[in-house]
Amino acid sequence: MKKIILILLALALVAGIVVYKFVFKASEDFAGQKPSASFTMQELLDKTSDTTSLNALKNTLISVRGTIKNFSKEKDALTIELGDTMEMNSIVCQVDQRHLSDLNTIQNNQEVDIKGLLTAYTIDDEMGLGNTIELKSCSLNK
Amino acid sequence: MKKILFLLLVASFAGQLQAQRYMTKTGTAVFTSKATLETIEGTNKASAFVLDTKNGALNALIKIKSFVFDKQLMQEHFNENYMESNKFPEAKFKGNIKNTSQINFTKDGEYQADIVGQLTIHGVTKNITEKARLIIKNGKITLSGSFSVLLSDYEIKIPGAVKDKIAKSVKIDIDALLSPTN
Repeated sequence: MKKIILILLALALVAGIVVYKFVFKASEDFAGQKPSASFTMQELLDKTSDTTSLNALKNTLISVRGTIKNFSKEKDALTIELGDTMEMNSIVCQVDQRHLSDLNTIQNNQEVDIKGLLTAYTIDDEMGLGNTIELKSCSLNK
Repeated sequence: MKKILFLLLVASFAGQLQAQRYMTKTGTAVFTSKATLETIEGTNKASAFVLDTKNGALNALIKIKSFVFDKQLMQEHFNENYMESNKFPEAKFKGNIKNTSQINFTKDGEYQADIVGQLTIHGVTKNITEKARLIIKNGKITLSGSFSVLLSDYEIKIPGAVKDKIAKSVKIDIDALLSPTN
């Protein structure tokens, strides 16, 4: 009887650990993964004229090489905007908190190679923001 | 001739000093749901804001899939079960600052902005009236504010099984540094 109770307790413990790990699993870290496709900033921005190919890249890990137009840095967050300073079109990358240190010393006009998950794009017509492509969970493409 | 050139030069500088359109594509929007059993917080630091200081027009565009969560399961629930981000990929605000006459956009200072407009979330558009804070410093404008959204107003349904994990009313915080643009 004692043996059965011990087995049941062990099973309950294992089940508890599995459920805990599932519920509290951290968001995916893509830094160690190889991007499915690589682009220059201009190649990716040109895709806004062909939304079919851009839609195919949604939720895909891609890398983009381009010039930093602007960035917003806080204690625990970094968002980088790649683009030509003379144009409105740009690529906005939200850097993964776990990999901020790799991009600690960035400056405007610096060339960077970043990878991230393509989440959304905007073909702007009314706000005057230009076209925008959004990436999240970004890290330096080493 | 020299006089005309001088006047053109002065006019061109004056235009730069009195920029009327300010924008950012790296603004912050934070979604917080505080329920009995769980607090869910998602952050989007790729939010776009545009302000026209001449007429007070204020627009914002936030892509739902660009929200970042600490926990993967939270992110999945937020996108798939509540916001249905494949069907309704963005949240939008289109409105105005009503009290622009009380705000001096060319002078450093802190002001309260009375905002009215239409907020679209989950494909549902509602008229809203909110207050926000504007800080004008060194030619840039920081827009920040906090407001509550009743999920039922935007037809966001909470399944019975998780009703203790999602609040009926969620808090949206915004914070954006807007730079002048042409």
